[in-house]
Amino acid sequence: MYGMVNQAIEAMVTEKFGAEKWELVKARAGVDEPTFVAMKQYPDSVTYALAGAVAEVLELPLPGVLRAFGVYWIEYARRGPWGKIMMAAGHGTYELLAALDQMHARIAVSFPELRPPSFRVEPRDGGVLLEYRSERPGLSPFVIGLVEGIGTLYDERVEVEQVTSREAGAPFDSFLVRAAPAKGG
Amino acid sequence: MNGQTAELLARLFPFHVRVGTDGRVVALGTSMSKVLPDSLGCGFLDRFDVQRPRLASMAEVRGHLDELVLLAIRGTPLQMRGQFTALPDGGIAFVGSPRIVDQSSVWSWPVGIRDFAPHDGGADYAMVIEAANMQLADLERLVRTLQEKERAERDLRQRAEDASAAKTNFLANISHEIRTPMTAILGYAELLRDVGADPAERAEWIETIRRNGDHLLAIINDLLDLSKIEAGRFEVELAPVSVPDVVRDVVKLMRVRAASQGITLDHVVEDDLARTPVRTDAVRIRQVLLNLVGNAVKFTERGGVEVRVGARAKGQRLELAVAVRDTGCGIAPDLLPRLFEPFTQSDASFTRRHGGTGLGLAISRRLASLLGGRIDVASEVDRGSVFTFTFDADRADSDADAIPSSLPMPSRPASKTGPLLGMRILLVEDSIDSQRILAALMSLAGADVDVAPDGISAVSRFDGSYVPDLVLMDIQMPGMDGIEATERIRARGFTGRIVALTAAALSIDRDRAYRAGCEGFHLKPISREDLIAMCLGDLPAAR
Repeated sequence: MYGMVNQAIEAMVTEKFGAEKWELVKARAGVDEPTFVAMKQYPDSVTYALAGAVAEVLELPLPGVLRAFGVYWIEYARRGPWGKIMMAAGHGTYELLAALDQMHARIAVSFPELRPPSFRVEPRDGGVLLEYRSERPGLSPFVIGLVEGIGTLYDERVEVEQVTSREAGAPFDSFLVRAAPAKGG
Repeated sequence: MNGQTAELLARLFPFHVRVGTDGRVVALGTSMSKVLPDSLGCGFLDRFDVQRPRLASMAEVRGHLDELVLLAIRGTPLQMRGQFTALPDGGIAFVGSPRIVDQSSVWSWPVGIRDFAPHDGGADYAMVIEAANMQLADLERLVRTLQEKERAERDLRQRAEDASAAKTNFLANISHEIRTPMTAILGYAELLRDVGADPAERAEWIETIRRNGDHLLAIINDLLDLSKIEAGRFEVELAPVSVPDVVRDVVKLMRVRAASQGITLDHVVEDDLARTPVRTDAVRIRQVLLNLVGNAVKFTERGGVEVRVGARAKGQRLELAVAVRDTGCGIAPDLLPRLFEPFTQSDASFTRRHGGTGLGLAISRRLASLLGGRIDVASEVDRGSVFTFTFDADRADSDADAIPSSLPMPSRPASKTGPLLGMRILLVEDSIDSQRILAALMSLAGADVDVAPDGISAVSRFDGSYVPDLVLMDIQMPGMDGIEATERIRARGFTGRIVALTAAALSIDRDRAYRAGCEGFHLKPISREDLIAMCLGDLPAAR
């Protein structure tokens, strides 16, 4: 994964728990990089090790950490250079989810080694069914957090329910997403 | 234009604008409609300014078909780049997309990524710009990190250099401070060999030697204290103490000197709470106050010095504050930050004029810190200074009777002739000079002195019949040291007093001496009065 993902994990831990905890996380993960470079490609194992170390150091369950990171990732991206692109990609949760693949395709111009997941959206039961396909295993809690983060971005109340799970043998993960204006609910 | 062409145009170029033969807008692409929703029927050139090449009429536009053009949307900062092309119905179309020049240009448009045609590289270009911005942000962050690291390293280096310079300066000062009195001692000792000098002169020289010896001893004691504190070997011994009593003793001691300078020296106890006995180390409190009051007296030529003791409750504990206020010469502002560093009066002439070792405040501050307190200073040149020694202490549980009304002070021996008359003393001492002086002083006081030059010789005397009243035991001696000699003498059944008299000033030496069987421990050099008091058992042991 590109270093910007690891930078975001660092930012989340440092902002919410302090720099000392981040040093502990790095030590636990066996990472001795003094800093991550956003546009440098790092092995996926580094990111997985960091996420695992966060859970161990903070004594939290790993799915909870991944979900929190999904929420944080959207907030982190909004504050960074990609924020404008993300905001311009859609005008609500459904629109942004539907634009994610296009956005990743555009971003790939600048990140030649990008191996983004694929998101497909189709209307379902008053909401949308979000199909998530990724070569990386175990990240469905991250996707749930991601959708919740997008809801927050547009001030929408979002419910996410996992419908199929790759871990349970399905060909891909899918989620039923329902979004409504937060103030209306 | 047929529907198929129109549909194709709309699908491939969502930002297109179709213009009729009359120069009016007849259709807009879906994305362009978001940008200019009310433009149908408007004159094309009323809505757009063809800036490059600059074209002012539709006729001119028709002369530049299929060339790269830049359009500004009038009344906005937005620009489009693309081309004009002829349509089968005689009209023309502009096909292109938003011009992206920086990170904010495109995203201020009311369109999103999905409004760009998939083949349109313009949106990709926006991503490239954002990626470049991200790299720039990364670079700035790395530079900032490096700058912080470099600053930290520079600070560290500076501190190391300062520490090294301070150490060098400290050693140079020590050397100087020791050599100065030593020069006087050796010089006058040399003069004393001149038998031709008259008795008055000789007495004056001897007094000079004694005075310089005292000063040298003070420096060595201060250095030893400082070194013990910095090595963490300085112990605080807590006992019930009445701080006002300590202050009273210190003031009493310094009053003679104040009087000789024609200045006043008073002390005030601000409230009864300050009289509450507390558990602290009276010896160290006294040492700090002697320094602060001594300095105040030393630097005050007119007016006086006042010492105020106050206290306030701090939970179950008390915070005591002793403020020493003088009307002296004050301290220059540039000296204040370094005031508590050793040898701050780096100008040697300062010490010569005012005396002192230059270590007093350094020791005092460290002692205050050991007692859980601090020393603050406020000063104004030519107006005076206030040094405030503040420390916390527990209230003492025991009753006031347990508190010594004053600290043990060296007591003078009875002033009778031959105070040691009839005492038999064994002096165990390897230094010929020390043997001579100590034996002479004790003999002059009436004692019967035997001298053993080392431990073996001393032990051999205790064969059962030899029972001196006192054994004065040096510690560091060749062959058998004083510790072993004491153990062996005790082993031979001697139960009388053995007192260590040594230049070994560390507390570990004192502990070893006591464990070996000594009943007292005193440091060399020792004055005649103290020597006699020690022989009589009246001199408090050294700490």
